Amino acid sequence: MRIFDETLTRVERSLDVRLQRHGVLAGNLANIDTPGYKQRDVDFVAAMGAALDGQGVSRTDARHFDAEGGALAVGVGGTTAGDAAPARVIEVGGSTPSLDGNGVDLDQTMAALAENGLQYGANARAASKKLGILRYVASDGNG
Amino acid sequence: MDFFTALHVSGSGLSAERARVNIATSNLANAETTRTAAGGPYKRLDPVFEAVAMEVPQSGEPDGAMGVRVSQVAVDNTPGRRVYSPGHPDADPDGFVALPNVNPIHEVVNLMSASRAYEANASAVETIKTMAQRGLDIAR
Repeated sequence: MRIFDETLTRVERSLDVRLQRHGVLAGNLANIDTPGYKQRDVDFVAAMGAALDGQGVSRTDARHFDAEGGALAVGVGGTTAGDAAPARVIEVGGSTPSLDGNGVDLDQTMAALAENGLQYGANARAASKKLGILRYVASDGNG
Repeated sequence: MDFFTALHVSGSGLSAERARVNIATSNLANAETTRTAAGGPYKRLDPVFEAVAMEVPQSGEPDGAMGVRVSQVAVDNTPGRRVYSPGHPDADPDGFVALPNVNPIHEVVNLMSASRAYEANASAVETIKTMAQRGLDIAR
């Protein structure tokens, strides 16, 4: 049983991608009257998948710690999430484009924005809980 | 991507919509103006919006989010109404006065649409503020 498992790494990456997604969705709203602008979004699933596939460390030397067993090695692997590249932004089909070629669907974007904010809050809470558990353990159950 | 990028994106949307409101109200205010500095009746104005790629502050790379700006304020040159009013000081020899090409209904619809878009952007600002607060609450 490891204390520093991949929970925080995943939550951290998810918070990053949610934040980036908010920027892209806000961009859709900002450009709601820009002729020819196409609705954009972040490919969240792909971004999380790429981050999770790339996580963890591999042993390049027999004298290294075992990546699977040691808390230290996994802790090192966990820091890669912070350096992850921004998620890919894709153009998504919104409503039928209006006469000026603008494809932003206000309702869709507002719903996505609200959902994204709630998910961000849920992830932040998960991070909080995880840290709370660690704090509890670190204080011999008196925390 | 940081919290301020999202705020800048929404801020650009807010200011673009505000510019649109200013222009629509100018058009409404001048719906009957027959004299301008350029001569002739007032010609209605139209803001032209342009998407601007936001950049990562340190590296300058595009980060996927798109802001907006008013790239130009275009003059609408479609001919305006002509009203027969021989007593008007700006009437031509036939007694017709050239009035602006402003359609008040068009401008009011424009105003309502701008106001809704402004609200949408303001609501995105509220969301990012809540998110930032949640982020700060981690490990509190």
